Amino acid sequence: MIEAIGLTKSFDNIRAIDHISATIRDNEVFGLIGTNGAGKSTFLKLIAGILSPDGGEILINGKPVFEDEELKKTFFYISDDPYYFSNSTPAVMMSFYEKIYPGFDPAVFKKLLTAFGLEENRKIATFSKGMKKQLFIILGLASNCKYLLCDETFDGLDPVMRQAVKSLFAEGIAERGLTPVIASHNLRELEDICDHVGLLHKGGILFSRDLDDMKLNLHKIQCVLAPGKTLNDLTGLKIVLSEQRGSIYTLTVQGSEQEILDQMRQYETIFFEMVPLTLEEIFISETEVNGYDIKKLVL
Amino acid sequence: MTSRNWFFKLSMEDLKHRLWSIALSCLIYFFAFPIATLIVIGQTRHSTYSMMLDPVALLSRQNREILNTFREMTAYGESGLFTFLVLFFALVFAFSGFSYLHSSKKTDFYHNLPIRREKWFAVIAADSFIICMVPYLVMGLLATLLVVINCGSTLPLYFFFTGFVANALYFCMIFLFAVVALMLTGNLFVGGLAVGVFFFYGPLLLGVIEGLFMQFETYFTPEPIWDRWALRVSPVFWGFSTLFGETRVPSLCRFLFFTLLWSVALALLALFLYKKRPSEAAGNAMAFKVTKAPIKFLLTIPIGLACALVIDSSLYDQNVWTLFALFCGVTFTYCIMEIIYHADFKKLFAHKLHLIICLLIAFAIFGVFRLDLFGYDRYVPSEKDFVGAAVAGYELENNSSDLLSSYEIVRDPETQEPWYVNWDGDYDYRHSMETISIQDYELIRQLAENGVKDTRYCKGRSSEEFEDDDSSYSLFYFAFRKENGSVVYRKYLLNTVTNAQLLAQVYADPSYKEGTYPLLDMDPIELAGVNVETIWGQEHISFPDEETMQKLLTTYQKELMSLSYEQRHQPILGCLQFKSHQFQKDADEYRRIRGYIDYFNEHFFYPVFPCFQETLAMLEDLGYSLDNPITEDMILSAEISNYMCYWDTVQDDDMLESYSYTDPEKIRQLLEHSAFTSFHYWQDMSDQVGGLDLYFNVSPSEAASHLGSDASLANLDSENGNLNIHAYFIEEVPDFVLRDMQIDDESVLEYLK
Repeated sequence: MIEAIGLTKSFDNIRAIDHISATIRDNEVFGLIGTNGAGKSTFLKLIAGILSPDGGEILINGKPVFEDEELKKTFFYISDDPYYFSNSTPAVMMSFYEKIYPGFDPAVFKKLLTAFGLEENRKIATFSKGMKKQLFIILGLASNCKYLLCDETFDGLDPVMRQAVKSLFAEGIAERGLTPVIASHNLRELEDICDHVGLLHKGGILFSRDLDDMKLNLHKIQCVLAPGKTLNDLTGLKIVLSEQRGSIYTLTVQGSEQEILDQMRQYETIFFEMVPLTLEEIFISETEVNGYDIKKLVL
Repeated sequence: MTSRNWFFKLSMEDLKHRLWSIALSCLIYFFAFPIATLIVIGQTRHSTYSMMLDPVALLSRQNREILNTFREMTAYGESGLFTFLVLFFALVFAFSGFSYLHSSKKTDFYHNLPIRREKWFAVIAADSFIICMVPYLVMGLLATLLVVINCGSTLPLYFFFTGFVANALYFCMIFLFAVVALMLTGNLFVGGLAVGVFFFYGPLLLGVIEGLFMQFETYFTPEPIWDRWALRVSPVFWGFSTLFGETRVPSLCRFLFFTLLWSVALALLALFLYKKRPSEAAGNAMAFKVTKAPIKFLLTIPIGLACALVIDSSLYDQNVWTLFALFCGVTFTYCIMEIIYHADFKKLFAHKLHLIICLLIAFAIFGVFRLDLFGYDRYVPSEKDFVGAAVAGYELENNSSDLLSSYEIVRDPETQEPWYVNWDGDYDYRHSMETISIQDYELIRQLAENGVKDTRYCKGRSSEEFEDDDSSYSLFYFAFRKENGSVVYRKYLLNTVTNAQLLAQVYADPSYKEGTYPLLDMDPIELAGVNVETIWGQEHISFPDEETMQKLLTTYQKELMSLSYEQRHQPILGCLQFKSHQFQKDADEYRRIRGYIDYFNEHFFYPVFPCFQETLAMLEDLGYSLDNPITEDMILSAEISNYMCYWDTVQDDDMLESYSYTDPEKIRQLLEHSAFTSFHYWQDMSDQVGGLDLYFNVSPSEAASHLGSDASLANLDSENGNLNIHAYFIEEVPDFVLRDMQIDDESVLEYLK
């Protein structure tokens, strides 16, 4: 388990992380979302022991991670722009990481490399941005570390590859308790993979919740009201967000599914149905509840 | 991973990524060692002198040449080629090895890995050492073996290993200096500047301190601050001590000890900085915010002062420009540092308060020295802590640099035969300041007070302004010894006319004499022989017995001890060189091996004044007449050269450049008005007349009749073979000379008086 307790980090006069407290449970996918400059990368670097916190502490399994070799062997950090040795090939990087991570599995590396269609002896410098990201995801998975810290890792991956990576993550979680921590500014990338999400904004954490908990209490309804009726007539619903296109209303409503269905049946509607919520919509509604104009933050 | 395991694995990985460094190192050492050695051997074996010697002598000489060249190439304290290469590699490998600290991408990569920073540090440092020193060792040994096989001597192994060990440690020191610079900074450009600061800040500071002290009129030190400390405050100078002269090169043990000490200290500092260094420092100018202001102050103030001192020495007594230079130096340096710190030109006045403080400190320091606020130039020793004082100056003894000199025979390392002589003259009064100790406080106080007064009087005036008939100023050097063991050095311009009585007291002081004339301490038992120098040349005196020889020494010592300041101004009649057994042994050995003993015939000559009656009488008895050594009938002609013709200040175009006399009567008068100069003891204190030179021409046969078998004819004329005896006019020039040479301009006549 990774714990951040009152974590603070500043660069000169800029407070990048401001008293963040969060818990990343094992065997779950933790999504870290926020706008550019929200502090996602800094938070990940603090977890990775690259940066030393100015205040608070970051603990892995109850111990501070900074300069602790044994703890650092439990995670693999993939930066948003990963470094590789000049003129190196995937084979060279594999050879390097093999000596660094005791659990590194060359067979897995080679298997995944083949599966992703990357050449073992081609210079990394000739790879596209997406191919480089794939390579480092493969290296991370082959390292057999418990935690995989991914900073904007899904950027630059095409949808097919993204799905493939998600499958590998799911496989890792199931087989060996892999705990990916994925930072991204793009909510859509994370919605079908994260179990838990934390929203960072201006160095602070707005909230950190299980996605399922949020989904249980928030629903989306599409409906067509009877002539002469307006949204103001739907008094029993806690409408968080509403949108009208022609005569069709799309409402985001707080409450349990049964409560909402019961309410809707009482109103005079020509048509209504429950539709799935996107992560984006969940966040918009949740943050607006907290008084933030989330559209400005994440869209 | 076990400790050896992790080190080996990481080291191999690191080396894999530094192949270009290995290639560069191998290539350069390959050309610098085996190829250069082969060239040296080939050239020496085919050198042109090979025709002149028999095969055995030729081989021996060639071997010696090869060994000498190899020693100069490789041994410690020699040419410094490999020291330079090692310095170059240390910088290149430090920058390439730790450059990742200056890139946030690379820093993220290295610092997220499960490897502690000290492990990376150890691996990169060790690999850098291996990359530089293993090819050095391999190529060097290859070259050494070539010389060993070629010359049949194992000496090259010694030469090579002294150089290798010294350079290996020097590599560590320079490498660690560069690493500390990189740890303190956040980008390569500023890192490079930091290395420059580490290398040259010490000498800059010394130069500034020396320059500030030179603002004082009375500042004097036998060994300038820069000379004394430069080697110890710059890692570059420490490695290239040969540039400061052979005497400055530290012994190998001393070099190794201090280089090792520095290396250990720097390694600990670098490691400490690395552990404390924040990863986010990559890309910034400075890694530690806390160092910014102190470094700014430490650089801005001395650089500003250096600018002021440079302008001050270029534009003498231009206070306004000096202060302007100080202001500009401080301000520009401050602005440049702010720009570098912020990587933004617009931030050049980011901390105005710092600039104001820097300016205030710089002006305060300069003012303290310039205005002598602490009374440096007014210093007079107090009686209560006065222990003794040394006084020296050209007007007291103008040959002290030679009389107090020392020599060392530099020998061939292989054969131990004399190679050349290092003569260390006391030009800076270093020895005088140590050997003289006058106890008369009142005398010293008066001289110091007069020195303060006279120096202040002369300050800002040209010599034409302060010199007249009643005054003649000359520099005198003082060392005041205090009770607490410290020594205060000063130099004063003293009026030798008004202070003649005091100077005479100094000259009469036995401590002054003993400190200036080491001969006075010579035990007659140590005496091996005496050379006499007359106007005809030098001769080794033949004594009937050792007792007579020793008596000549004691007689001379007695008369020299009682020589007065006034008598000291008489023209000398000749010189004596009293040789100790060691001196004679060295001279004999040198002549036997090298074929000449010029060095030994040019130094330690003591003057014989007309008042040395007993010495002159003894020399007369031994067959050497120094008094009236030449009469007009021995002289073929007398030539007078008028070098005033070449002076820009003299406008008399009618003057003749030279004139020749053959009339015995006129030659007699010329002899009466002149004194001879052809001695190795130069008497510059008699009442000489400048502007005219005299040469008395004597036939070779006449000269030969006055010379012994081993005398040298130094001044033989190349055209006619005559001996030219150089002389100068004393007190006045005879009227007929002025007439004949058409010297009638008033200003010229005034000068000749």
